[in-house]
Amino acid sequence: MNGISNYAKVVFGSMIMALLVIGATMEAKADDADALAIMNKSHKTYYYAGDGGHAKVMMVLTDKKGRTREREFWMLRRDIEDMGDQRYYTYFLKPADVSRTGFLVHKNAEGNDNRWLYVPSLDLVKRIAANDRGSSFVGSDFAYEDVSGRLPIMDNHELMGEEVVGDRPMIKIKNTPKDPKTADYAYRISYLDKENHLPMKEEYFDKKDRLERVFELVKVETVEGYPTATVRRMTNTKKGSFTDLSFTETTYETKLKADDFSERMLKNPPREYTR
Amino acid sequence: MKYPISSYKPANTCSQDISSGLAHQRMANSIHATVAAIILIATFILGLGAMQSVDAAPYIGGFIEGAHSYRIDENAALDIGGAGDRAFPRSEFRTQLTARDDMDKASFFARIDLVSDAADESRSKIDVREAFIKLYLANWVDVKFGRQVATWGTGDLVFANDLFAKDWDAFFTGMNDSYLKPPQDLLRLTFYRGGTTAELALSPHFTPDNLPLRSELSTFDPFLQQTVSGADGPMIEQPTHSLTNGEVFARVFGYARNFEWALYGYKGFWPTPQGLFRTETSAGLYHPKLYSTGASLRGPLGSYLFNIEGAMYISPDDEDGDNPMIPNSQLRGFVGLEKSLAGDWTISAQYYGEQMLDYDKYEAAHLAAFGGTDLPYDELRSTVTTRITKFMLNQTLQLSLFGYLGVSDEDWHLRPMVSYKITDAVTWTTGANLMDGDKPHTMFGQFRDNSNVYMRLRYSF
Repeated sequence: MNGISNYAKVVFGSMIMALLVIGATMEAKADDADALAIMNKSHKTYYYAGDGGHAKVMMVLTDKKGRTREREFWMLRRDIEDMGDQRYYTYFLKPADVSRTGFLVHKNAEGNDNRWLYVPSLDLVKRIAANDRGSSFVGSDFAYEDVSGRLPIMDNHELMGEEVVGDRPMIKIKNTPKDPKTADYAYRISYLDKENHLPMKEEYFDKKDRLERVFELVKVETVEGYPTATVRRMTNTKKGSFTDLSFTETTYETKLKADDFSERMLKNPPREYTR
Repeated sequence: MKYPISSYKPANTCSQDISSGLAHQRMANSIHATVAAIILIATFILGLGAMQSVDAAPYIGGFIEGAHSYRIDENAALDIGGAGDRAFPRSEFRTQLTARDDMDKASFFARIDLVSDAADESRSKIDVREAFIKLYLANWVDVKFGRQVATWGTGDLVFANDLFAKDWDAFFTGMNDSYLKPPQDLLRLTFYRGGTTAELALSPHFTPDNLPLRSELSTFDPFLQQTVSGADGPMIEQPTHSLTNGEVFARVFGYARNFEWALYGYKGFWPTPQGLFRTETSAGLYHPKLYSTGASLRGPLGSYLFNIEGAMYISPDDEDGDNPMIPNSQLRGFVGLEKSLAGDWTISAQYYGEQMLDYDKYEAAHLAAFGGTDLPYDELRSTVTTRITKFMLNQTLQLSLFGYLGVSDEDWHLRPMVSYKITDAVTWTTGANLMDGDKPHTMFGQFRDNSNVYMRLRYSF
């Protein structure tokens, strides 16, 4: 009897242990699923508002000595599907030596982007080799990926609780790239606004837990019903430089279709965006 | 890529009549200058009129630039009469003014360079680089009319289907790459249907490549069979200005599965004077007729950007390939790969080939006409190019190295370049054009004593 009793204890004990472990795993999974859902919501709000739109962007780069460089450009966007492929077009107004230069990106949610540069002085449409998305966007502290987005499914997500940033409650999530080769940072801590899910702050860390870059939404306005980040800052804590992006004349109404984002657009920029 | 200078070896005994209506290049240049001045004035008047009728302010911009190049090779061919060889292939001051105005159904654009070159006064001029009106007639058609720069094809400083004129003078004397294309007078029609675009560009007259025929550069004279000062090179005859001597450029292109495809056509003349003529009173080079047709494809291949392009050049005045005075028909093509690496590096390589058709006939005809045993052209001319580019300091500093290696010509050309944006407005650029080769008549070999370093400082506004 004792033997059986001991056997039963072992069996029941193991089963309880197993259930506890499975339960805990499931809870963690649920947490991760929640985190991914929140990240997706945030990504959609930030990168896929409306079906597209445009804004005039002023970019100011400030180096560690306080010297500044400025770029001004129109940015046009058209989504093919939410959380899927997008078309981007950038038309440079300043500085003078790149004015009239156009930049076209066919962003493929899966796989490499297709990119073209239009050089007006040669009437040349130059295709640019698929770049790693971590490379700098026009020399600024922003990477291409920061401008056109990195899909949350490329990362593992871990809920880290809540924290108040400024005077607003944030959800804190750790994003770790599933494939380290797809990112030039080891992990990122995102602070998402609890109400509108915008990424109010992101901290990028290297493998040795050193802070590399900090992204902040400095100003959020409501445009046509969409919460819109109109001033954004990326600080490179290693270099001591930072870049501010200020968005004006933002709208989410667009007459442009995805097919309009072609060589024709590079050669004939829509004239409402060339001033 | 084409020869800036023909490398034919004519014999002294050879003669061929040419049509009597060919005008001399210098005369054509002065006609061009007059036409340019008229276009300049007319477009400004038109443009100013248009500017008053729109809401947004028209765009005015430009730059001021000093550009100097210094030859680092001793060049005996340029030392005429013991006066010393002229050491500066280019020493210029340039102001560019750009004006643009956009209306609802039209755009007006003008870009004019005011050039003063102390190294060669013949470069000092008002250069109307662009002056055109674009009409957005309908959803399915645009028209671009006037003086303009045009580029198509997939090569990086190699060309097969891009038969728009090139400026080799600018290319070898340290100008910005954007000066590789001289302007052309074109009526350009673009038709859109679904994802397919068709373009037709018509020019009322032929625009030849601009060759570095100057007293500051030496070149190979195929008649004398020796290297001479560019200014003393053979006479080059241009086709007369007549509608039948105009040029027709055509392209149809589209985009599918991340790849761009294109088909091309051309009717006009060999861009460099590869034909020879000799009459009782004169001898020189001219541009024989040329038809061309080709295709290209460009898109991603793994993590590389891949391009391939080919063209068939048909020489209608020498269809059989047995006239040694006129280039044979050819196949030209290239294939390239480019890759971006972390840290703002880009690397690329291309293989370019030129296959002469009817080579046996060319060989027989050439040897019969000129004697000897030596042929200036190989049946297959191969060139390999490489480019390495690196951006630093928030992309304000650019390092670039482009190289041609003439595999069959046994010559090479290196183009190292460093460019730094001191401020948003001021850019300093320095670089070199290094050329060498075993033979005096090949594309880069003929410039082997013309290697130069250059410096440019540009203020943009």
